[in-house]
Amino acid sequence: MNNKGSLVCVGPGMILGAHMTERCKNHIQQADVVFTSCHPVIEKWLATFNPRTYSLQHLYADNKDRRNTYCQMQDALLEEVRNNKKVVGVFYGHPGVFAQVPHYSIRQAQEEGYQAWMEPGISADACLYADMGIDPGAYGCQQFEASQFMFYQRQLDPSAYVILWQLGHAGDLSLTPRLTGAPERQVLVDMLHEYYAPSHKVAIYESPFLPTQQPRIIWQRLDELPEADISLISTLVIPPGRRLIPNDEIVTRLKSIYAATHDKNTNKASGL
Amino acid sequence: MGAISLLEKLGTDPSQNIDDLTPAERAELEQYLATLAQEKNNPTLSINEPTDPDDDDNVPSEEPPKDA
Repeated sequence: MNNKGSLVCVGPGMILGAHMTERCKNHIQQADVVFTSCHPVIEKWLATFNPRTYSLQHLYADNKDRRNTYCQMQDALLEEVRNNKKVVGVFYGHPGVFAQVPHYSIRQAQEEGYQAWMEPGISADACLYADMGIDPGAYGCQQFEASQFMFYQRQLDPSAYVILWQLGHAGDLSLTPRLTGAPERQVLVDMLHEYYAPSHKVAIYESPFLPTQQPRIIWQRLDELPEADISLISTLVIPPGRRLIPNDEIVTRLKSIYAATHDKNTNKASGL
Repeated sequence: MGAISLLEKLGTDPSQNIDDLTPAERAELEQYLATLAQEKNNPTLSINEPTDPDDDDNVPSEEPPKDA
């Protein structure tokens, strides 16, 4: 087999012009063929770097199962790799964050003996931390895809920030590109009431994709979420609802370790 | 300069904003932005199903072994 083909998946970041690394731009410019799944205006911009840029967005359709769409995207990338082309896949934000196609395509290409890897980009959560002034290290931060949180038995830590992605698809069983509505979000809110008061303030966040836009951050009560204005790029941000509870037992153990280590070091230093 | 180039300029140069454009550039950009509302976009790229079909090797399928 002549495995000269390669695949690299890159992300141009969230905002046109503002986030793309030089390395990402070079990958695009040096590619034999570029496939993209980004907003149409971002795709037009990417095409200015390489005329052999093709959108994958036409593979979506209103009532089409997204699993089929993603398989076709994967096939499109792999077909050109097998033709020994240097293929670049460009997926908005970070190509490895909430993006199944790059992960699966890279894995398949590697299994077939081709060089394939991923380059990081600025993702929506990176923008969220900056736009909302959240440090995930301050209280911790749990993140779930909203539907997965609903479909499976997960444990929330309400003393940490909680971020639920793809809120627009929350509870979707059709697996099509449709937006779910108030009834599905009411189920989500009922689940969250196990951890938070109905009056707990939550935010709907949307990252801008153009430098002329501002981030959309709408604060409201948790029980208002079902009727909120949600889009396919909406994310739910839930600030901590409980104080951190000290783990006295562990801290006591750690203190004894520190004391023993400290004594040993002090003795060494003093020559005892 | 086309609308895409104007957007790129605004995105790359933090000292620039839409008010710094010439009236002609601003008109061109605003006209383009008005057409964007008609553009269809499918931003989501991951799926979660109610029954997990994923055989992802990164996910442990069993409880970690307990100490004897």
